[in-house]
Amino acid sequence: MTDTLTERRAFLRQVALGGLALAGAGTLRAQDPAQGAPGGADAGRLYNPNAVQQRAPTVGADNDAQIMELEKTLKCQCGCNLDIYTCRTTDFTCTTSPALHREIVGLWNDNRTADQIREAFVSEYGEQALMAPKAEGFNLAGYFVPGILMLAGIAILSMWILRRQRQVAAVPSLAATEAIDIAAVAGATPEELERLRRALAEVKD
Amino acid sequence: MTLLGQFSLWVALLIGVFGAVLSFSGKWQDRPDLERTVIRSSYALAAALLVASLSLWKGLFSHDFNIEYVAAYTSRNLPTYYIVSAFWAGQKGSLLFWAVVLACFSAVAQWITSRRYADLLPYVAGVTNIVVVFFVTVMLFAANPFARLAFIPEDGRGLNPQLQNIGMVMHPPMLYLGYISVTIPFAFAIAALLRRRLDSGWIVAIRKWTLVSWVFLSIGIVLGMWWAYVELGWGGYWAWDPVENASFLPWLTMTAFLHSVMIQEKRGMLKRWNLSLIVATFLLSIFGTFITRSGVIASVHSFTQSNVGYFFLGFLLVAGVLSFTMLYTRWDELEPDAKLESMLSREAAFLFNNLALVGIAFSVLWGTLFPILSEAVRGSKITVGPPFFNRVNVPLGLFLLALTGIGPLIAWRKATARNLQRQFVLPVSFGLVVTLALVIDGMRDLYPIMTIGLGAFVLGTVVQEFYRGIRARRRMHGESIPGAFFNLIARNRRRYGGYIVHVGILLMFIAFTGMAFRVDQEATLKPGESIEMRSPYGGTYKLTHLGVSQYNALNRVVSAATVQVDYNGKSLGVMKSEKRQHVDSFGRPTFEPSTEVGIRSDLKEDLYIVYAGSVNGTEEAVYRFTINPLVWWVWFAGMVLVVGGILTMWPGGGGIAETRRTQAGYEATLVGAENA
Repeated sequence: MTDTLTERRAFLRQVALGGLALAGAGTLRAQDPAQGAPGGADAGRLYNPNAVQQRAPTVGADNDAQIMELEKTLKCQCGCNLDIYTCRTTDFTCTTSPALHREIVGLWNDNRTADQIREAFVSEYGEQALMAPKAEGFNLAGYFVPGILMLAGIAILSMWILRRQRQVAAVPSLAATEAIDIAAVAGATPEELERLRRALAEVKD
Repeated sequence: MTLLGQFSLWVALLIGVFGAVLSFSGKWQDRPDLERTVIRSSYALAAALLVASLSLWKGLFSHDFNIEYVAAYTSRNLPTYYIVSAFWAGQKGSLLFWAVVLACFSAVAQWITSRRYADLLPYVAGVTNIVVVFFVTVMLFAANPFARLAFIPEDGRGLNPQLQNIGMVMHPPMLYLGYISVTIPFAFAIAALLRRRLDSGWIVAIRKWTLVSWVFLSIGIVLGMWWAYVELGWGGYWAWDPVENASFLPWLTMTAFLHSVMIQEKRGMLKRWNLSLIVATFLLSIFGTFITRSGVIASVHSFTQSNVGYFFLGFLLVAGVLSFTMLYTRWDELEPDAKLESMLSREAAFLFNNLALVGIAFSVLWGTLFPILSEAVRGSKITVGPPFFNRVNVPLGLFLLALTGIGPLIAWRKATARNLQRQFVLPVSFGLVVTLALVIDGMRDLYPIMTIGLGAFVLGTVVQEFYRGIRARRRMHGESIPGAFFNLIARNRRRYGGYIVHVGILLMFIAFTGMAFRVDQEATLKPGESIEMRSPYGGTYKLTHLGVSQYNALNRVVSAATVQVDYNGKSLGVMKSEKRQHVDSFGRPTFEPSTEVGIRSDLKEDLYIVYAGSVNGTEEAVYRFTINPLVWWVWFAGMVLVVGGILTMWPGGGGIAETRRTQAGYEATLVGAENA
C-alpha cells in the first residue's frame, strides 16, 4: 500500500515538474524578443502586432473635458447606438467614431461653440445625431408626458382616496353601532384573539 | 441526435396543443381522468423538451458542426463551460432554453401546488402549455436550433469573445428564469379568471412564484450590469439600452405587485389592480423578448434581426387582448372587500408607491418606444439615449426612494398625528443631518445630494424598525441582541426581508451617484512613462506603463499591457489589461481583437484600465484610465437586494387561513382601539 502511494506521488511529482518545464519553455519562447524582431534591434516591437488594434497616439484634445462632454451628447454614426465618446474609447474596431472625433476637434479649433457643433452634426446627419432629442415641438411630448401623467396620477389618486375617506367617515363606525363578534368574523379562538391583542400592543410600543 | 431533437420538438408541439385544447374545453370538470390527463400533459411536455435540450447539448459537446447552431456558436477549442453557455448564446438555442425551462417550471408548479387549488391547476396547465407551444412553434417554423448545413465545416466560428465571460454564463439564464417564471403567476391569474374564483385565495398560491421571478430577474439584471462593466470596457454598467430597459420593465411592475398584493392579502382590496399588474408583467416579459429579437429598435446587444420578432409581436397582441378582455368581463366580480379609509394610511402609501413604480415603467417604455412614435408622427428618426432617460427618470426615482422610506412607517388603515410624529422624527432628522453635512462638505450637485439625503432617511426608517423590533423581543422574551435580531427576521421574514431589500435599493441609489463624479483620461505611454490622475476624493494616482507581453492561450493570442499603480506615493501593485485575438483550432482569427479591462476595486472607488491598442505595433500603448467612485457598492447592494428577496420568499408561514385571519384582524376595531 505504502509502495503504491510512494510510486503515485513520484509519478505525480514528475508529471508536475515536466508540466512546469514545458510551460516555462513555452513562456520563454513567447517572450523571446529575437523571435518577433529579427536582429533584436527594435526590442519595443510586439511579437504579434496583428493581435492588437493599432492606434494613433493620444493628443491633448482627446482629454479635453468640454469635448468629452460634447461627444457624450452626439451619437456615433457607425450603427453602434453609442455616443461618440463612448464608442471611440470602447469599440476599438470602429473607424467612424475616431473620424467624428477629429471632425469635432476640427470644429472646436475653429472656435465653434458646443451648440454650433451640435447644429452642424444635426445638419449633416439629421436629428438622430443627438443622443437626446431637442426639447422642442413634438419632442416635448417625449420629455413631459411621463411627468404630466405622473402628476395627473398623483392628483387622481389623491382625490379618489379623499373621496373614499369621506365615504368611510360618513358611515358610522361599526364598533360604535354594534359590538363586533371578532371571533365570528375571523373564525379565531379566544387564545388567538388574545395573541392578536398582545401583538398589537407590541406594535404600538 | 438532431433527428431526436427535431422529433422531440414535434412531440412537444402535439402534447402542448392537446393539453391546452383539453384544458380550455373544460370537459375535464366532471371527468377526474381527463383532469389528470391535462395535468400530466405538463409533465410530458417538460420531458419532451428535456430530450430536445439534451440533443442540442450533445451536438454542442460532440462538435457536430453540421448543425448550423453548433457551427455558429462553438469551436473545437472553446472551453467546456462556454460550450454549456453556448446553449443560450444564440437566438435559436435561447428559444429552446426558454421553452424547456418554462415546461419544467410548469411541471414543478403542478407538482408542488397545494390540492387546495386543484380546480385551478388544469387551467394553469392550459395556459403554460399555450406559451410553451408558442415557443416550440417559433422554433419549428422560424428558428430551428437543429437546422443542418449543407456541408460540415472543419471548425466552428466560436463564441463571441464578449460572451466568453463568467457573467455571460450566468446572466442570461438568470434573466430568462425571471422572465419565464412570471408565466406561472400569470397562468394562475388567468385560471382564477376562467374559474371565476376571484377571492384572495389564489394570491397566496402565486405570491411565492412572483417572488421567485423577482429574485431571478434581480440577479439577472445585476449580473448583466456587472458583465457590461467588466467586459464591455466602457466603464459603466447601465446605458438605458432598449434591451436593458426591456429587463427593467417587468421588474418594476413585479415590484409594484409585490407591494400591492399585501393590501389584497390584508384588506381584500386592489383585486383588479393586482390582476392587471400580473398580466402586464407577463406581457412586458414577452415585450422584452420581442425587443431583443425583432431588431425593431436599435440596440447594442440584441440578437440578429430576424422574422422571429413578428411571432412575438403577434403573440403579445393576442395575449394582451385576451387577458384584458377576460379581466374586463369579470370586472364586477372583483369588488374589494374593504374600503380605503385614510390618506394617512399604509394602503395609501403603497398606492402611491405603485403609482411611482408603474409611472417609471411607463416612462422607460415611453422613452424606449419614442423613436418609433416620433418617426411615425414626424417622419424623422431621433435617438433617445441616456441623457433623455436620466433627465426624465431621475426625479421619478427620487420620488420612489422617498416613498420607500415613507410606506413602512405609516400604520395600516389610519395613522394618527401622534403615530406619524413618533415614526418620522428620527429618520427625517437623520436624512436632514446627512444632507446638511454634504452641503457643508462642499457638495453642490443637486441630484447626488438629494439621493444621499433620501437614502439616509430610508436607512433611518429601516434601522428604527429593526431597533424597535429587537427592543420588543428583548423585553418580551429576554433574548440577547443578536438572538433578538435573528429571531425578529426568522419570525417575520416577509416584513424584515422586505426591509433588507429596501436597504439594497437605497445602497444602489447612493452607489449610482458615484457616476456623477467619474473621471476619464486617455494617455499614450512608452514603457517606463507614467501619468498622474486625481481621484474625486482628492488623492493622486500615478500610473506607470511597464510594457506589453504576448502569449498564446487555449483559444486566443493574448497581449497583456501592465501598469504599476501608486496612490499618494504608496504602491498598490500591478494591474493589467488585455487584448485578446481569438482563434479557431487551426489558429485562424475568428473575431476582431477584444479587450479585457483591468479593475482595482475598493469601497471608495474603482480604478478601471483599458488597453486600447498599440502605436505602430510597438509596446507604446494607448490607454483609457477611469476612476469610478462607489461602484463596489452597486454589486454589494445587488447582493443585499437578493438576500432580502430570498429571505422574504423563504418557506414558512402564509396560507389561506392566515390571510383570512389577517384580513379579519385588520377589519375589526378592537374594543378601546377606536379612540387611539
